[in-house]
Amino acid sequence: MLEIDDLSVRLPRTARPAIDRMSLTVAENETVGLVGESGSGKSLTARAVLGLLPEGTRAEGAIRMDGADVLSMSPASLRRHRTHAAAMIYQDPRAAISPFRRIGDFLAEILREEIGARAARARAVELLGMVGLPEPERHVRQHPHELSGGMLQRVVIAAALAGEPRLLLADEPTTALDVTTQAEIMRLLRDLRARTRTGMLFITHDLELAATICDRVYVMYAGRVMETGPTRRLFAGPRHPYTAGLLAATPRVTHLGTLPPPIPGRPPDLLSAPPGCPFTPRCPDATDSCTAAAPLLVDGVACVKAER
Amino acid sequence: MEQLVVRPGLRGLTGRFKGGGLRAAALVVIALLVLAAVLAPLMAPADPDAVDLSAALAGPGGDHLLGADASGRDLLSRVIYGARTGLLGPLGVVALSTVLGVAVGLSAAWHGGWVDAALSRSMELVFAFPGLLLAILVVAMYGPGQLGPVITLAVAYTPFVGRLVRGVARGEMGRPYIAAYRALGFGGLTICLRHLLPNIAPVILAQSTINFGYALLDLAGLAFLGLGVQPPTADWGAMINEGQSAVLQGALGPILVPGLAIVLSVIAFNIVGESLADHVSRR
Amino acid sequence: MARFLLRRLAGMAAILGAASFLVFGALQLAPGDPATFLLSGRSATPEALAAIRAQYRLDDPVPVQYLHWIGGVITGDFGRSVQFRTDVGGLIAARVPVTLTLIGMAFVLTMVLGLAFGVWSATRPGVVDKAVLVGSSVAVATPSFVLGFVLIVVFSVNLGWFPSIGAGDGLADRLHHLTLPAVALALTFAGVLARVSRTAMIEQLGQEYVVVARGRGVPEPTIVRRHVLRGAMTVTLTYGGLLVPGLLVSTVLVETTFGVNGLGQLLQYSVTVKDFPVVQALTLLTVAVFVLANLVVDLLAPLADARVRLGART
Repeated sequence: MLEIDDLSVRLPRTARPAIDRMSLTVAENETVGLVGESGSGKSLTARAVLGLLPEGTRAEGAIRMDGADVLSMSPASLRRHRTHAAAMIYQDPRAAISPFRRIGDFLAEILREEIGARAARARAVELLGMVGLPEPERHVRQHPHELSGGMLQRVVIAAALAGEPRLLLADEPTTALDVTTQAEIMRLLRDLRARTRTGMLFITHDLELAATICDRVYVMYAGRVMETGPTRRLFAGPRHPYTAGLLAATPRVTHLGTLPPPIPGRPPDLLSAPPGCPFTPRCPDATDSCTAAAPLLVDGVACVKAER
Repeated sequence: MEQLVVRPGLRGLTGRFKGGGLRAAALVVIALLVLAAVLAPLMAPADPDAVDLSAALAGPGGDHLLGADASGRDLLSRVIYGARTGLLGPLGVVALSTVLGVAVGLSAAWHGGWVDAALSRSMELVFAFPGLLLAILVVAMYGPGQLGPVITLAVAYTPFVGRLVRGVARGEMGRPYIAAYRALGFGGLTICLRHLLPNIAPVILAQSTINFGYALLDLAGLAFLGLGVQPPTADWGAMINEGQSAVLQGALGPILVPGLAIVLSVIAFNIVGESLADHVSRR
Repeated sequence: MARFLLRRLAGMAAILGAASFLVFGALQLAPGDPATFLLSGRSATPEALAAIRAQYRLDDPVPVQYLHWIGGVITGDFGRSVQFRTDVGGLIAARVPVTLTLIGMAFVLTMVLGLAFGVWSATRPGVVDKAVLVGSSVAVATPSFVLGFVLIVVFSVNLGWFPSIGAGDGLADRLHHLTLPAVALALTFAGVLARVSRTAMIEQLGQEYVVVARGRGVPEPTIVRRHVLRGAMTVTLTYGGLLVPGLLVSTVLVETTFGVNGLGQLLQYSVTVKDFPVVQALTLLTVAVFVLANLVVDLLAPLADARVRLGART
């Protein structure tokens, strides 16, 4: 359904592409995780799928939604794509909803033109019910500042569902929420998927969280896919040193009192273009050949060592 | 050609941010104004007060480059001489209000507590009196002239500087270097004047430059009302006051010439003030 | 709500009280004996002096004089004009309609022009934005009286479209007479407001919710109209409301330019003929308008932006 094919995105005034020759697919009713540290290009990928790249950005490759290339869409079909094909759930619901309008206006906004104001209003109430808000009729008349963060995230999810999209892009949908709310939102996303058969691209920096909901996972680093595979296999036997490092760095309750080993160093910024594999400076297994050329993704992993 | 004249230091100053060309132009205008004020007798082609009724309301060109007013006085010469009161008045307002504002703002920030409360309330009170109104009140008391309005406008403008200084100084005082000087046993006044003030000076300069334009407008307005600089002094506002009688005959020159001088000066000071503020906020 | 109102009203009373001290004190601070000062330029016969002394209770101690004066002011008695030999209150009341109409027209012009150019400039970066910025700089720097005379020469003397002097009678005639003065009065303020609303628009356009709305397929004009403008409007309205006292003070320049017999011209005339009671009353009135404008802006803010609760503005 969604097919990203050899996508490269270069932001203005940067030394290396923020997304570097990435390929990724999401099928109908499939949940795919996109995992990586902040700045690895995860969010930009989601925005690219919506055709929301900042001005002055150069994109190569293709993003196909049911065969149509998002990067070359006309403004009209891009709008249709954004309302009915793909919709995004954002990290910070408080920033995502215009503070000046009522919740109902926000939800109905994209529907009014197509089905009329009255029907759009009814649909807004229905949508709020779908995402489990207790009093939909009251909430549509409220302003965003009257709702809690968790409730607002449900509103954002309802807004994403408004156009009955075939693909949901969930960009760190629980990062800004506290732990119990996070669990509720994750449950809601899983239920919705079971009910609506939408595909979902689930973006997170949290491997554990990805494991709870995703069928497959892509691990991203410095704009490149480092490793990909079915969730279970990836977690059981990581083949890329970065995946292994991420897994080892995740704190676990079962190891009380011990701090997990961090990955030394920092991810490269967009202003430097290190040669070869971008993970080399932080990699425990790096050899001289790592800086020669960036390894391609072969058989689900992009590492010289794993290829051998 | 220009590249040869411009020194590296100056080029960095004018070319670093957007609108650098505009700022350079504004600085040139201000330089010309100052030059006109200082060298008026040398620059003016004629005596600004020489009456020549045969040339009354003469258009531009000929003997009078910019035309003549209803008494046949040379407008160009008058507008050049007018730069004197035109710049001196606002300069007085800005100098006095800057000193007062810095004193009030620093005292409020440094002492805090009831001093801060009293000074802040007083500044709020002054805010309730628009500068032009306060100046008119003072003219009603002491009669027309330049000195009274200049002092009054300085008082009216003090809160603009004072509130800014107070805000910036309070922010600056939270930084470690002030605490360090205090620990070394420096007195409050020394720290304020020697260390705090130089650090917040650029912000004050930006605000005061913008105030200059407003003071010029207010003083010109007063002179136009006949409450400031009095005719027949060659002052821009007073020239407009004198020129209004000829307007109904369609003679706009005697108003347009000093009017444009006002507009140009205010724009120039605003541009410089804004680019200073820009520069400060970018640091 | 009630507590907020009480606090605001107390603040208003404090400013008005302090302002009344200043305005009253001005008479004491003025050079010479207050009675002679009030009569300055007129025949100061012993009878006239005695009448003035009795009217202002000048033989009483200063605090008593103040209480007498402020008591009158509160009941609408601003004393007698030395020049017109009538009630100051009556002089002012007769001129309020003209000045109110002028300020009203100028206010509408200021808001409409300021908002329109601000929005236009913010949504069209490049040539339009630059042009509006330059235009607003010129507008801010142009004295209302210079613009007024230019308007008179172009539209009255040469084109004959509008009268050049007076305030007119009847509604249509009055609006016709006050059009040029209102334009002259509004331009500076519209220039300021255009900059304010431009900045507010640009700030809103940079918010995350705008990107989100684009990502949901909301058409760009709808985003600007329903969200960005709504956000910028709050700032513009607040700022616009605070411009009203400035408009009132500037009528002194514009009414003098156009010979409009309103409060502004009364102020200019009274200063020229040293009619101090009138100057005092008009000064106090302007401060009252300033205080009132602040209160109205505070009370209206929650209507424009539901997040703002009463008293949140500092």
